[in-house]
Amino acid sequence: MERSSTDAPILIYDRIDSNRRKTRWLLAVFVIVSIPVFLFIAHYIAGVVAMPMFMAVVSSPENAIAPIIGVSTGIAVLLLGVTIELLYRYSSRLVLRLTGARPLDPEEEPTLVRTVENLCIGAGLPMPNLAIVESGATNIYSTGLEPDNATLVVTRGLLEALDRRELEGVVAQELSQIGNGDVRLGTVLATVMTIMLLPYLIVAPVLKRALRTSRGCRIGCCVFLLYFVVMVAGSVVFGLFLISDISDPTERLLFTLTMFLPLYALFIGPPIAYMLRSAVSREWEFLADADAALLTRYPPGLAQALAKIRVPGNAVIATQPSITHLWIVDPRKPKSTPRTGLFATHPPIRERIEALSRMGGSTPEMLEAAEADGRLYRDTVASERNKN
Amino acid sequence: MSLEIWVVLTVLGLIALLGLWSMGIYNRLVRSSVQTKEAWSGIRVQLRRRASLIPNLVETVKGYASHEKGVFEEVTRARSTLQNASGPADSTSANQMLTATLGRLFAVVENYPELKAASNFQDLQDELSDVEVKIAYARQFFNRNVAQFNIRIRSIPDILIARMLGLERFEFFEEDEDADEELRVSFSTSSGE
Repeated sequence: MERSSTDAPILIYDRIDSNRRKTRWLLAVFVIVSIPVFLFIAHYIAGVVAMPMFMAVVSSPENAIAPIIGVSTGIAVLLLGVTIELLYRYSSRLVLRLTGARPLDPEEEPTLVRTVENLCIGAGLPMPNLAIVESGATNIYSTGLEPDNATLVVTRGLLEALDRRELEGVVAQELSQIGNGDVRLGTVLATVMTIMLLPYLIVAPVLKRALRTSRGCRIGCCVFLLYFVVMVAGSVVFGLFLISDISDPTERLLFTLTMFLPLYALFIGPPIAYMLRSAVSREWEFLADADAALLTRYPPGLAQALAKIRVPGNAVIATQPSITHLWIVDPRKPKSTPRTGLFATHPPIRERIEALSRMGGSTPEMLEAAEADGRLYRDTVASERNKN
Repeated sequence: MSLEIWVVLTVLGLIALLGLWSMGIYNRLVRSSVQTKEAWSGIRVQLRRRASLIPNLVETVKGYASHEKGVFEEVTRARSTLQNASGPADSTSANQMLTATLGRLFAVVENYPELKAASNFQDLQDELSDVEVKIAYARQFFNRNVAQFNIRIRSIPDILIARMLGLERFEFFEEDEDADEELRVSFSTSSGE
């Protein structure tokens, strides 16, 4: 990804438009990449239908395969359509559940409520629902398909570590993302990614157990993993045996595609989708930061907040890989994930702070002081909290 | 088909395209204008809230400093001017007048420590400052919409449609000198990832 590095100020509305165009392109590619994965998962769910189909092919290869594949695909797509519709409808609830957020009573945190209220007036947005994650981490995200039913989620640590102006900065960042549609897109991406990474979500804990626990358990886990390998490799090997019996070129092509579907769905599709999702979300952080500076009219607020959150360990919160892009700062452990390159969901935080500094108002001393405060918070309050 | 038919069809197609295009611009302008009016009503709500706090405030202060009649009258007059003000320009001056007279009222209050310590007075003061912050934010949103609309109706090609519809520039509410500056934010970031 390249970013134009002009020093001339750009009108913010032009920037929003170009952001939208880029996002639309990336989304189109995303859809194309993820269709086979969904097809496979749907086929797998529709195994009841797929099994007789497979049997029919095995028993009489000379019969037409295309209609059989067609029917099963039709059913699979229908099934998937219902799943996606349901997920779309419950996507924000899914995301909230994945992060363990609970609704916040407005009277609990009057400062936060007042801050959100005021910034909403400034951004021309309805007041979002508020929720909190009881964690010492300092992070924030929002989810929802429409501004009317969006939810802003803060962590306990964020409220404890940031002062009023810094809190204003991060809340403004989230609100501008609710306003410009990034949150809607991010929520949809989160649900789509959750489905796409489903095989990994199942396999990962099994794999962990296979390496660690007792012998009996290990055997069970290995059998389970073997099943996955057989499913992927088997479909290709099995397909190679059958393909020679098919004479019609169209059917041959269809069959070949179906043959490699599991391989693609497990090993090729998810990484590409992951990369694209990261590219989409990397694009929008700078824009939202600038929007927040515009809304609060105080760029140092967000810059200092980011300087506090930046302290290693402060942003870390247990989360699913499918929703990391929603948080204001990458919530994963710094060591376990790449912070730059194609898989990074956020631009380097240092660059974000620099961009905000260029908008004026903040001095290096202010940022250093904020970072020192962040370190102090981590070493005292956060570590105390984690002990309990 | 003969050449004439092609020419006619092309011309008709171009006219249709032109129609669609201007419809798009028309819709954009109407949306922008409605949004701006909505933003204005957002300010009105907060201004009305501010005005509605005044009688209570005056009553409270009167309880301690009944002889400062001049100030009370000024504040009450400023309040009713604000309530009757209609457009952004009127409201701007009325609101500024109210701010000025309130400043005088609070200067009076400084002489009455008991009043300053009274809890209902402090509540009112808190509420008043909350409203003032909200007015500032509402003003920011409104002025941003106004700036966007005013730029739009003066740029090509929207200006053509705007002229036909007779769309006029909106007035700012409490315009400040750096209003245009605020629309520009430097996005320069170091190149590459």
